[in-house]
Amino acid sequence: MLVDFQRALAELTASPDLCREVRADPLMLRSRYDLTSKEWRRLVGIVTSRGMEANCILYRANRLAPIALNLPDTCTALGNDLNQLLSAYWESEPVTDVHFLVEANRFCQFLFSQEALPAYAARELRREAAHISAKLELLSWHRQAR
Amino acid sequence: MKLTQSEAISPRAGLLYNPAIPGVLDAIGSQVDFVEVVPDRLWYDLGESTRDRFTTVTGAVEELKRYTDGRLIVGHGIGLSLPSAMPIDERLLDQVVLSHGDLGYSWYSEHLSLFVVPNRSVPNAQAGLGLPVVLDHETFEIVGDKVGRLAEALGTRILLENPTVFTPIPEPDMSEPAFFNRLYHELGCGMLLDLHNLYANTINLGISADDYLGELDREVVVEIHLAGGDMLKGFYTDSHSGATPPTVWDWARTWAPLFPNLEAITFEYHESYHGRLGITGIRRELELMHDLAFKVSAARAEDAACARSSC
Repeated sequence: MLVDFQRALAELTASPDLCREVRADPLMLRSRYDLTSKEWRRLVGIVTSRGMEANCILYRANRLAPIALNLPDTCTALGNDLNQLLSAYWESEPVTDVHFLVEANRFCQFLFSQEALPAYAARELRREAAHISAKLELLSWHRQAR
Repeated sequence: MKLTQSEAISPRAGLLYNPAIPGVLDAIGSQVDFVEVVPDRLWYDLGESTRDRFTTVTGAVEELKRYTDGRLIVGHGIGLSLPSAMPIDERLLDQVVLSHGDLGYSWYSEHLSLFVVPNRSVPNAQAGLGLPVVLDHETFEIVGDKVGRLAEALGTRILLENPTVFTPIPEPDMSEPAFFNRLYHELGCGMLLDLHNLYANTINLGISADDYLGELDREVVVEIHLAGGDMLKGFYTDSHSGATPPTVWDWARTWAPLFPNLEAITFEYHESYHGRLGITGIRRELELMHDLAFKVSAARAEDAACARSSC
């Protein structure tokens, strides 16, 4: 089914790990998605092509943009933990919010739910999250005033 | 035949609107015939689950109107994801209709790319990631139905833009140019030919631009996009980061005079690269675009004269 083909393509683009799994075991696509033989061949061809790396890079770059712009100090403070936290967040929130502030705020809530953030990172997070909340409050005020 | 620009029907030269464009219009506005607007950037979309989903970016529309007064405005959407195998987003469509009512788009374009699938979206913040579509009859039906719906809702012409593709989908039923030819002949949907996207595809996929352009029926092209890009980890991206590459200009000068329905030439860049281009760089792009438009109108005048004298 085309809808499953498209869903598979989007999920593969969001997950380099899934791409590696499919390269190792192409048949796993058949168990995970409702695909015709032709759609399965197409997906295997895509995943094994060089360009899939570009899709994955751009996906991560575009999802990172709202977070890096609105939470720069938190990102720096998280250091080596950032990559793993981002992957976990993107896995838990597959639909991107096109509004950068909302997307950044959602990442803040995700980080607040993590138990073992370093103290310095938690302090930066509280500060930048408050700034984002204030901007969202202002936006809300504009909406009510219209 | 000696021809002045005012004597010939000439495509217009314009810019894709971004927050840096008001400054450009202040400085060199006389060179900008029209402005192309991404309506999705004029509002905040707080998500499908919210009741009051869209809220206008404060001051954005007012500023746009002030700066486009007397200029033609074209709409260029990024949100409807027409090839998605799911119903069109009716609330977003309503919002686009409202925007058209406010700004009066001369035509409206979207992309032949996938940005949304059920329960997942593909972010397109800056670096131009849209997923490729299956070029088959099923996708054609889906896109065709939605193009018809959009045209009906807006009451204006619809164009679709050719994408940058990193992973072409194997075993297509038809080539990309054939898909665009069919859209035009069966639905009247014109093509927004992004020559920089094509440039990226020639670098990343090794395809031939001449083969691609030669396969297009010449009447399908209504608008041309020009832009610059960057290399990223071995891939050339449509990042809208600078001036149009010389090769793209060569293609534009060779092919644009052959497109009888070409009405607009648009330069796009992202505001974060405004400093890199500067007013001088944008002025240079516009000068080259006007030269190109003149070349097109001269070719048209020559064709018309030839037709009159049956040569």
